This record gives sequence, structure tokens and C-alpha cells, in this order.
Amino acid sequence: MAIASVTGQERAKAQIDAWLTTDRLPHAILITGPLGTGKRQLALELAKAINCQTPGSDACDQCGSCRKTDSLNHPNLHLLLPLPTGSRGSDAETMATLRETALDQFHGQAAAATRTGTNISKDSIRLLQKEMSFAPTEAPHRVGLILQAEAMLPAGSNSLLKILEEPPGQSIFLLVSDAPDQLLPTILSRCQRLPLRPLTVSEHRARLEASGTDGERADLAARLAASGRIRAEDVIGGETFDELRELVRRFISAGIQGTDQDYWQILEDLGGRPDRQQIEGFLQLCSAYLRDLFLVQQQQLAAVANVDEMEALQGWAQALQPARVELVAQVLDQAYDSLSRNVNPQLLLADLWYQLQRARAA
Amino acid sequence: MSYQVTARKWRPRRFDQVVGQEHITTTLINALGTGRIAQCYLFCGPRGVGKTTTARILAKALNCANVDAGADPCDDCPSCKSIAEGTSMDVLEIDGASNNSVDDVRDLREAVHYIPTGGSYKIYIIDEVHMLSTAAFNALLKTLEEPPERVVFVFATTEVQEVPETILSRCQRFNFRRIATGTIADHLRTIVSAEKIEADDEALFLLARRADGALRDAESLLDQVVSFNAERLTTETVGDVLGLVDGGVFFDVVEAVSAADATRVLELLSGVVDAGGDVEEFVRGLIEHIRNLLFTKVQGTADELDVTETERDRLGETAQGIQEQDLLRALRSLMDLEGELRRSLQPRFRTELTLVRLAGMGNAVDVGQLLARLAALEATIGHGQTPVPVTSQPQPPPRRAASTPVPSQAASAAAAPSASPPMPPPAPPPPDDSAPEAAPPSAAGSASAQSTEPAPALVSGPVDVNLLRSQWPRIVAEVRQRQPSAGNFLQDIADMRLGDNQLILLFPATARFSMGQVAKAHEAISGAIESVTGAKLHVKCSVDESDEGGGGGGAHQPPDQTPPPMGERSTPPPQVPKGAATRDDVDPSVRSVLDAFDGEIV
Repeated sequence: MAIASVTGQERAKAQIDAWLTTDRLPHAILITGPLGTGKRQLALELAKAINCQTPGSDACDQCGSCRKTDSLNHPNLHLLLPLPTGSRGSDAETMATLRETALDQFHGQAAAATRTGTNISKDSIRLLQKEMSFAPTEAPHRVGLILQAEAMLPAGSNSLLKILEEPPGQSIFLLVSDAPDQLLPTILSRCQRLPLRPLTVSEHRARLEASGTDGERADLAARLAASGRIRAEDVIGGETFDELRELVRRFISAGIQGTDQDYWQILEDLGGRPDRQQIEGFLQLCSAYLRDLFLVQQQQLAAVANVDEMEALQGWAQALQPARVELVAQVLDQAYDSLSRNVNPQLLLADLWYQLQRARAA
Repeated sequence: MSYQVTARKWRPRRFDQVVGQEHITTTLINALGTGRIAQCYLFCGPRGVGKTTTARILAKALNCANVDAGADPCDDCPSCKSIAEGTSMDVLEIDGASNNSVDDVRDLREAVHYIPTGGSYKIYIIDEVHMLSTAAFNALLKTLEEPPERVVFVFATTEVQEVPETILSRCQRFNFRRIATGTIADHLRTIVSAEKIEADDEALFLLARRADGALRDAESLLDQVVSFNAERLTTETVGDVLGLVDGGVFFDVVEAVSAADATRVLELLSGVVDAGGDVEEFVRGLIEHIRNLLFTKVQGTADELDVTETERDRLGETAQGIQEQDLLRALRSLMDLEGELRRSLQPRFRTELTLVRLAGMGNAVDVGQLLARLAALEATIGHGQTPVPVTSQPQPPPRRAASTPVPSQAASAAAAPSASPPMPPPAPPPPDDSAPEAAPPSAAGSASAQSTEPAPALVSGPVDVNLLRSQWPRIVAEVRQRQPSAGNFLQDIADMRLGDNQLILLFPATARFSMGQVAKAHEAISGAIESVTGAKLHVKCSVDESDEGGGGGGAHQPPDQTPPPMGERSTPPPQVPKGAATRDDVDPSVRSVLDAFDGEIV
């Protein structure tokens, strides 16, 4: 695992390489990008490369520094991430689990969207501030790694400003955020940005092939992953995904052509009371289908993600008014947004159902 | 690490190096020159424009040992050097966000009384001062109002609205400005020539524009681009490193949208995404571009925009072929979209949808043109080329624009009841602003066929009251053109009567004021009548006597008129009190007696 091992993101990797080779590494770097683009992974690899004992601009993965950083044990690596609600940071058990989660996330094993907590407290930032102002002990630089930087509370982010502008000695801050617009403008202005892009279909495919999956399934997974927030691994993964996809298929099909009876049936098959995770997957797939439907209506068949469903898509495309597709997409997005605000998932589905019915061609 | 980012390396050390804040540096230099040093300064403004820097320079200047240097610090004496290194005992730079409690302020208050050690002033720079707690601010008030001699406070903040009034009133406040794009570009030019980096002017301009008024942002961006491609900065490398969407795409997208070419729009967006562009970035860029187009369209020139020469020409060209309405509409849609993208499942999908919708809308028809066409149509009707339904009554609904001809629904609705004269025909629906199309001639024709008498030839023939009624909306519109206020007051009339060469407009007793106003405009009205009907009439005004007994309930039917007056149609016929009908017939003197004693004729 080194910087080169991160999938895609050629531009960002080239930028890092340029920083390291010309010795122009800025003292504050903000890594941004949508979910599932490998921000954390890249951040950790960058931290490794900065302090790697082997000459060269990438991490060697062999030296002590790299290995310690990899296991988050490096004394000069300071990790800041939102703590779970209620934990005080001193509870050994919580911290151990947290560490496991963080490790999983860094090495790309956990689901991309996992959040460890809701905010980063002012106290943790003060602590980081203090640690960062000491001279590094066994590596050339102290690295402060802040995950979910947008979760810093206003008081905290403000107290980071001075040290972020003129960090003492050899300190380097790495901030990671998928919502940089929620950061203070004063923070943004102090950082150099490293934007990561969503992977393209071929990048996804290449990654899947490298991990030993290919064929139609890999193609579908790559296409779905590139179209939205669906994880390719879930698609490859198997039955749960297939079941959910079948439900979504039935939902849309019935919404466009069926009756209310079907709606209740689908809701029952979802388990009566679908939980948030389920609904999230459901909405993601809905959105993917809807975009395909739109692409079919616009005669852009090459870009369709659900390639194995072409026939059904053709049928739906005819049965749905093109002008109404945007409304349905809007409701989908609203539903997705409301999920994080504890809205009753069944209400969201009912609303979606209603919109689909309204969008039927006369 | 020997490397320092440009923003730190190029941090100004003297007042004359501060970029784009001349209004502040000049004031400070003059204050220093005359020895009028305030006890507290507040520097506020957006990020990265020089607040902390100016505070430090001010501190240096106050303590500079080198008298010959003038107001600017010499940057060479021990005092200046120690301040630059942050080791001075007399200049305390405090992070207000980290030391924001009341205890921190109490410590400060205790220390403030000690006299400066080396220099002549003791300077407290409190950065991010807006983060102080309320208690901390209040604990500071007394010290701030009357600090010990030779103590100067300098506060710096981006959020001046968070600072209490009591603090503000004790400070001399300096508002730092966003720095103009051109100024930033010039400064970047200075930096790159000093650092021996080759750079195109356009590339620097692009960086400066991207920095949005903050010099530090511009310097951060410059660093990033330079580290990536140190040999030469061009627009391509800048765009490439910053992930900017090439400006040319926006012209193409606007063109494709106005040509209603959805396929091309989708292709262009695909191209942007495949090239590694960010969808949100694209939408923001498109908004900016359309805003520029709108500006060019309205202003007639793109000279005041922050754009390059080539873009300016192209903007001018494109703006000519596009309607303002279309631009506004697109802008609104895209701004709605931008807000929703952040939380979208598939930002690209939503963008595609919006762009395809915009492309599918077709170009807006200018309302001005539409009105002109409408006026032309009215004129044609007015000259008798199209029959006009007589059944439509001249009642303009109160306080509504009356210039709209009778819509087709009225014509069809008028069909049924027109056979029985005492029954008033249904009122024309109020003119609908959203449907300004004139009644189709066919509908008007069918309505006229239903009417009891043929439509009168307008220009020739005797003018009768029915004709006037049927033409009333047009007359009002005509009056409104000549004298807008009179047109409005005309809507209050209850009825009209025709004498020999004389038109008497009857007003309800409640509308005496309107009557007075209309009477003043009688010439305009008779002119309007002449131009519409061709008849020369003398216009007079009077109170509708029949109205007085009925209160505000609406006009009663005058004895000499066959068609019912208009008031009754909008309101249900008033319940005529017993005896009131006879009351109308009696002599006015008797009636006044009845009124005075609230009497009744038995």
C-alpha cells in the first residue's frame, strides 16, 4: 500500500508527487471529494510518504515509520475524528473500537459512508493544537490528520485558525472533508486543496478486475458505482443486493404501471418497517434506475448503467412523461436528504410512490 | 523545512507592501506621523486581505527604533526584528479563539499595567477576536476604555457582527476590502517575476479571479500550480491543476441550450465529467457565465466584468442573440439546482435533467412584443374588421386592468342568457394577466351571432348607449393612455346616460372623489370616445341619484335605461328595503325630509 495503490485520482497523485519531489509541501492540505473516492486512504498514504525513511516520493511500506503510521501507532501522527456521542475520549473500550473502525476505513475495508460521530469537540482540537506545537520526535514532521473536518464545531475551527496559518516548525495538517462548503472560509483560505474526483466506469472496472472480478457482473458493478453512491463491492457481494434491486425494480415498474396493491406488497417484502440503511440502498438504486430511464428517453443508450434491464427501461421510458422525470428525481433527493433527519422512511416511500404515479403518461 | 508557502514568505513587512488597502495604510501612516495613536484599533474584513499583517506592521511601526524611517517600520532594527520573529516582549499576539475565556482576559488585565520593556508601546494583537466569550468581552471593557499609557490594542476579525457594540464604540474601526481581481493579478505578477517563474497574464488573471478577492487564496493557488508545473504557467496548466472547467464549454452549453439541442448538451456535460471536471464546479461556472451574459445584455457592454479580452468579445456576441428572459429563467433554475446538488444522490443526473429541461423550454417570447401585438390586434378590432360581441358589458372590474378584451370564455358564457333582456348577462371574467392572448376571432364571431342585434358599424351611424357600453373597456384603455389616473378613476362609474351630444357619467355617492377627478379629465375622455367610436360627445359627470338610497350596495337600474347597469353583476342584487322603490320616485325635497327623519312613505 502506497500512494500509487490508491485507485484512480491521477491528478491528485501527480500533485502529491510534485509537492514531495520539489520539496514544496504546504503546511495545510485539504483533501475533498464525494463519498467513496478514497480520501482517507490517500490521506494516510500521504502521511506515510511524508515521514517515510526510505528516499523517494512515495511511501515504501517497509520502514518503521510507514509501518507505525499504517497501524496508527506513530508518535508523530495525530489523528482527530468525531467521537461517538456520549464518549469522553477516556473510555478505553470506546477508543479501542474507534481505532478499529478508523483502521478499517483507512484501509478501505469499511463502507465508505461510515461516520464515527457527529462532531469534533473544541477540547480535542485544543489537544491537537498543543501536540502539534511540539517538535517532532522521531520523524521529520508532525502530521495532524483531521477526518470529517466539517464536523469541527465553530469554536473549535476558529481556534485552529492561527496554528493552521503559521504552524510551528515542522507540522503539517491534513484535513479530510466531503463537505468543504461547511468549513469556515478562513480555514479554506489557509489550505491548499486536493480535490478527488468520482471514479469513472473504466476506473471502477479496472479496480474490480485487479481484485479478481470480471465479466458482466463486474461491468454492472462498475457502471452502477460510477453513476451514484452505490458501492461496487455491494453489487459484486451478492444476494442482499440482488434482492433489493429486484424490489426496486418492482417498485418502479408498479409505480409506473401497477396499482396501489403492489405498493403494499413491496413494503411488506421490504420487511414491513425498513430501516434507514435499507432505505438508503433502495433510494440509491431508484435513482440509478431513474437516470437510466431518462437516458433512454434522451436516446443516450451507451451511458445506461443497468445494462441488463434495457427492455424494462424501454417500456418505462414510454410510460413516463419526460417532463415529470425531474420531479421524481427531486423527490428522491429530498427523501435521501431527509433520511439523515430521522424522517419516517415509510412516508418517504409513499411520497415517492405518489410522484411516480403522477408522472405516468396519460 | 526550508520551504515556506508564498503567503507566509510574501507577508508584507511595511505599509507600502500591503496590497489593495491604501485607504487603511494611508490613514495609519498619517496617524503615526502626527502621533495621534488610538488606544484600540479594530481591523475587520474578509479572509486573506491583510488584517493580521497590518496589525503586525502597525506594532512594528509603533516600536521601531529607527527614527529616520518615517512612519513605515524600518524592518531592520532589533525591535522590528524581534517582532517579526515573534519574540518581542512588548508585542503580544493572542489567539482570541483559543484564549477566549474570561480568565484569559483577567490575566491580560493584570499584565497590561506593566510598562513596555524595550520599545515605547506595548501592543496587544488579539486575532479572531469575535470568538471571545461575552463575559470576556465585558471584562475587557474598562481596560479598553481607559488603558494604561502606552498600551495599544489591535483586534482583528472576519466576523465583526459578533463583536458587541460596547467594544465597537471603543475602537477605531478599519474595514478591509476585498481586493480587486486586477490588483491581485498584478501582485501575483510581482511574485512570479521575483521567483523567476514564467507566467502568462491570462493564467495569473485566472488565478486571481478564482481567489475571489482574497490575496492569501490567490497565493495558495499560485503555490499549488507552481509546485505542479514549475516551468511555465499557462491557462491550461492552471485550469488543469485547479480542476477548472474550460470557459469555452459554457459558451457551447448556452448555445446548445438556446438551440434546444438536448443531445448536444448531454454530450458537453459528459465531456466535462470525463475530463475529470466536477459537476458542482461546472454548475457554479455556468451560473457565473450566465450572470456575465445577463450583465452584458443589460449593460450593453462587458467592459466592467472580470473577464479576459477574448471572453469579453464572445460575451458581447452571444448576448445579442439571447433574450434577457431566457437568461433570467436559466439563472433561476441553475441556482435552485446548485443548492440541491450538495445533497443529491446523483448530482450529474440532476444537472442533466435541468439542462435538458432548459433546452426543451424554447425561447421566451418577450412580453413587450406580446403586448405590442395585442395592441395591434385591438386596433384592428377597433376599426370594425372583426365583429365585437355586444353582449359583453363595459364593466371593468374594480381596480383591475381593463385593457384586456373579453376572453373567449365570456363569449361562450354569454350565449345562453342573452335572450331574456331583464336578466343581466354574466360578467366577463376578470382579465387574467397570465393569459393575455386576445379572444380568437371565431369565438367573438359566435358570440355576436348569439346577440340579439347585429354589431353596429362603429364609425358611422348614431351612437347609442349600448355601443358605448360595449366599447367601454377600449375607451377606458384609450383614456388611460392619454391620462393614466383618469383611466383608473373611470372604473368607479356606476352607469352612464346619453343625452344629445352629451354623455353623462354617473358615479355612486361614495365615489365623489373619483367623479371630481374624472370631471377634470373630460377632454381626454371625449377625445378617447371620439377615437374609438368616432362620435363627438361632451362628457359630464354627476352623482348617480338612484344609488343614494341603496347605500353602498350597488347601482339601481335607472328608469330610462333598458340594459341593467353593471354594478349588479359583481354583487348580488341588494335587498331593496320596503318603500325604497317608491322613495326613488318622489320629489328630492320630500326625500331629504325622509332621510332627515328616517321616515317612510306609507
